[in-house]
Amino acid sequence: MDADAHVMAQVQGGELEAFERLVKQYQGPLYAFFVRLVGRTADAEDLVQETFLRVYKARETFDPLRAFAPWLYGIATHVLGDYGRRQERVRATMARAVEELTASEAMEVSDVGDQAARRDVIRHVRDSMQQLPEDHRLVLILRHYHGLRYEDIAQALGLSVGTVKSRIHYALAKLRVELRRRGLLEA
Amino acid sequence: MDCQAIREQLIDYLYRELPPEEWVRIEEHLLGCRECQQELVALQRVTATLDQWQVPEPTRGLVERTLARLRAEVIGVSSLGGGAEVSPATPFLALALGGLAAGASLGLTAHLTPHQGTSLALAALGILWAVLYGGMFLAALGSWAPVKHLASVALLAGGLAILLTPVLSIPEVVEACSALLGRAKGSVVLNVLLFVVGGLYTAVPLLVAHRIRGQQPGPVFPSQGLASGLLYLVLVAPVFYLQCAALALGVGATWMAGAIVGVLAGGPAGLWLAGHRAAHA
Repeated sequence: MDADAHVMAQVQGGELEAFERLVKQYQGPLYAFFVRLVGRTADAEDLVQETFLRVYKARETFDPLRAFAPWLYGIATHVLGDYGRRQERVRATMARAVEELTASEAMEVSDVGDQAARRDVIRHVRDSMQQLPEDHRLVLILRHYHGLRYEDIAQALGLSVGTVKSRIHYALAKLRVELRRRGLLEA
Repeated sequence: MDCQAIREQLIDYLYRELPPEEWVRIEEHLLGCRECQQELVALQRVTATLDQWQVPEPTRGLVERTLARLRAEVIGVSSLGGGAEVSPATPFLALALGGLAAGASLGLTAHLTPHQGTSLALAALGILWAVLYGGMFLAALGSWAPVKHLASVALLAGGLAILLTPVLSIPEVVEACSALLGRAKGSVVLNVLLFVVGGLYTAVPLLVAHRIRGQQPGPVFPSQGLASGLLYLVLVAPVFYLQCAALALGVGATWMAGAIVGVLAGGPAGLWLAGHRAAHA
């Protein structure tokens, strides 16, 4: 059994401490997931909380024989969808977020020269990601940054493995062109 | 395998999504094909560039805030079915509120009715009511024991009430009470009054309880108020029986209708007030 699925089984048995362990373990990855897809850090924290609340409410529907992470990211994707419907101005939000997040990330880099260069790279990567269709971006982020396997992503999003694979191929090909156009990759 | 077929699989190779035999086949091809090696390096540069987009950790306290929201918005309701944590002060608060409510109720009844029981019987009645009211407030506070415990208390108290009816001279109390309030039959004014009193009877404690309890910011779910309110109403029923169960049916229905409206309004209103307060804290 998946170790986290085992912890989730304890949650199903009424152990709140087990749920707390899951929250501690996944708050960072979930936060990163939402920041990359939504942009605004404050909203991302709200979405993390909302996801965990839904996970707890839906705990009885989890099958402990399956992996936990795909199930979790499936719920997170639903939360994201609701958020997107609530805020029809996601694109505008992303534009604000670029400045907000780039500034906050820059605080963590000590060397001033590196800081500026790194900020530029991050901005270009983020902007390039924005060029992708949203469903392609979602799949790529789950694979690249969260390490979910094609099968897990297919399970989380209710897609076929072939669809997941083709979206990742398409997304990387498009990113390659875009990053090259922005001078981040050699021609 | 030709280069085109290999290149179509390089992304899956990078992400380790290939079965072992495919993996080996591509490794072998790469050893002897400079163009495909260059293509792999180009793809690695893309993924390495993506890797630079790292996100800082969330702000401190996100775990605590998440768990607090969980307790306030989810467990507060599900605890009616079990598994909630107990605030150490909650049972005492409930008992205190229950004692006050019982005292007021008993005093009112004693004032309205000729006292025909002994002092001991009256004291026992007071204790019984305090238990019932305490149970009601615990239910309304919604942060104590599972519903089965509360239901047990209610059933036990109800059973005791029936068993002790001859000892406590309750029939006389009820009869006098009924005679008094029975005059309400046919009186629009008194029926309206009973409706309002019934509503306040349930709404006020729920409103106060939820306002005390709901200390965490976040959206208010009326279902929370409704769930605890309905439980509260179940617990009100035996008290209602004790207080004037033998009322004429129409008058009792008026009172109970008010109580139901109070339940529907009191809990959500208290939660709203609590959320409003927390939002401005």
